[in-house]
Amino acid sequence: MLTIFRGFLIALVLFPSFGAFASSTESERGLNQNLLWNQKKQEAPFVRRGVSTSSFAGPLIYQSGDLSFPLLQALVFDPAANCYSLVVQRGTDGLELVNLWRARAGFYSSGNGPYLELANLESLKTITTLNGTRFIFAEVGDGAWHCVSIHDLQGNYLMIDYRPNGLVARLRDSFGRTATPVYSNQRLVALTQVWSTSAGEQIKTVAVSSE
Amino acid sequence: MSITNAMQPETRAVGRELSVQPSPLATGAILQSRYRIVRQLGKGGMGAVYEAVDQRLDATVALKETFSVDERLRRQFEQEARLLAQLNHPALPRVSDYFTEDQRAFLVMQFIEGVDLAEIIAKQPGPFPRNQVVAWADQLLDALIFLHSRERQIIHRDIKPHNLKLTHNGTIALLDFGLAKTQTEDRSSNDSSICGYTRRYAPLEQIQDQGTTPQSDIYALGATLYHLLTGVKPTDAVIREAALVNSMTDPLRPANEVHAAVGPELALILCRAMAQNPSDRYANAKEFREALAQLGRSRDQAGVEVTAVHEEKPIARHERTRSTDAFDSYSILKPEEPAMFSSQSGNRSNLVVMGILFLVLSGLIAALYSYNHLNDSATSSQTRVTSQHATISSPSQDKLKLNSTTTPLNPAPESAANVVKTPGQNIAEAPAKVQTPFRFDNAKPNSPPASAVSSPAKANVPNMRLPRTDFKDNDPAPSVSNLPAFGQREAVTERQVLRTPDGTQVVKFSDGSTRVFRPGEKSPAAGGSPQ
Repeated sequence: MLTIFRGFLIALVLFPSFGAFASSTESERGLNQNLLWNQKKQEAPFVRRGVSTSSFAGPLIYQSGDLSFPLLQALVFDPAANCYSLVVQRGTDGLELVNLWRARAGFYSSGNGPYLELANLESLKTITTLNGTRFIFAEVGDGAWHCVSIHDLQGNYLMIDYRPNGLVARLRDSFGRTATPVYSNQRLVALTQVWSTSAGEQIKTVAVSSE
Repeated sequence: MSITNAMQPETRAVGRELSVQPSPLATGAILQSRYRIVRQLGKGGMGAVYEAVDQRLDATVALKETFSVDERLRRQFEQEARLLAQLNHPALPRVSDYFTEDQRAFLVMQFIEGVDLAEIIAKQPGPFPRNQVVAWADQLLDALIFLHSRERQIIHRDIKPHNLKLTHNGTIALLDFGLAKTQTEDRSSNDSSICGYTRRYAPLEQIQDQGTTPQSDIYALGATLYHLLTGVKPTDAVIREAALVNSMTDPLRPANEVHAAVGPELALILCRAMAQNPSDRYANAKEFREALAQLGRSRDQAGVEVTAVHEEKPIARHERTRSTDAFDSYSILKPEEPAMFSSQSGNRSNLVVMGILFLVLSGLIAALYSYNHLNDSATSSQTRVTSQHATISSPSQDKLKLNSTTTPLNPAPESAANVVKTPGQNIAEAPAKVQTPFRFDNAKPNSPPASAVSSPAKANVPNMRLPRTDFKDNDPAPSVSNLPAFGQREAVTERQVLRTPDGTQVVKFSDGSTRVFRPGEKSPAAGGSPQ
């Protein structure tokens, strides 16, 4: 019970900073957008049109099969319970705090929610989903364990650089696309995306509001 | 007295009202003036199993009671008991006696200590190690060959994780012959056999009561292996059939799609074993076993090939052994260990060579350090040795390059950018540090050396750190020189480089920022300019 309560506390502490919904600016105005990583090479990495923003609780989301991972979310470890916690989203069920309990020496697996598996590689942690997508977490400047790299079995990858304060500095993916968050008072206010299409290099900045 | 046709949550009894559940036997009850009941081990709709002591032989036995009200089934039970008593196979429990008492029929069987695989799955969900499952499959197929090839062919008809017991010596036993039947000429006997099945593991023909053949056991074993290898229960054969009839894709996903470590070859074998049409499956258990054995042989051959390549080109060796996923040895989901750490006899010599190499390298590093230290002491001059390449020959003519870099004992502040520095460690006080290409166990600030830390992750990987050969010498290690400026900041230094098994480098800089580099990445595009 204590652990569950602690999990909720963690979620409450972390969620407010991710309560921002994507909105559009300039030519994209009027379109529903999410800062959801899409796997179409010709499109901007973090904008997907036509999906209600309200179905996502925060910006910078990576989708892996039927699971979504808020990239700004940190992996939390509870030493008392020897349990890792991670926020994921499954379908439209809303965000879910998944607890990963020790399965055997060096490994943790989810006791609730979707099946995830964490391998403790000392200075790195990897979380693997059932479809083989691997998330690598490292302790970054703010002392929290953040996702630094994601790769799937198809060879796609996404790499995430971090600022000293733990905010995402830049995202790059296997298509050569980049996304650079813009912050104001440590809150994400915009995302500048660069990607290539047959028409040439595209640069677009999408504002992110917290309305 | 209740009539039931539910054996387990997913189990159905087929046929008419065949069974009646009597009250359980009490502990201490003595049957046949010989068997003293110790406890009930399990109970289903079709029977119950007790642990008992054979007081005559002073041995623990298992008593399997079959619930049956049908006299014909009782007779069949006697026939089956006689048949099973003739079986002698290491993966099958021996049947030593049978009897009826108070209208209750019992089979006396060898008591096999251990835990069934369903129990293990329940406690620890997820896939089992592939090599382990293949080894179990080999034992089980040997048992099936034995059963199927008898003059009076025996079909188990309920192979599933619940009926597989892992013994204390690591072997697997196939239990629950209550459902086993002989293939007799009288087909009507089949229809009214003491039958049952578990839908997730049962073939379509069994669910539809169209008669079972050895191919039915092959399907059930394939489904069981699928579950063990992927950690996911196979799709019900009826659901699969419904999809296929409606021209939809088979909902049973290939095992390697569910869990990549299974590999396409093994997934294909499972796919054939679990074909909906019995004629599309392996013709017999022997063929199934040979397919799995071929998988093993091809792996061995790959190992030989790898070794041959290793003598000429060590890097290629490592790349080959990690052909699918570099994380294989670090995950439950990827339980296979790389060939270089395999305990197979064919690779033991590699381990010895690696061990010798490790010792030689350690000695060389220590000697290098001592030499520099003594040299500094003697001359009181600052020494700077950069990018020394020491070539070490192993007994197998294997050459590994150690990219050794020493730093000055008292470096000038402006040279700090080239020093691997940990917080709290004054550069001026830092001893000469040798940076090897394998920085995966890079020490955390103020933490004991990685080699001294008892890591849980090491339980599944060899507790030794060998030079990683998957980094080519020309791999550009990220450094200040190729680090794009973050805004207007002053130059930052690398503080820690973490390398993932697939070669991705996570570089932590002295200003607290973290950047990620792919292997071979030379000049990453400039990042944004964070405020």
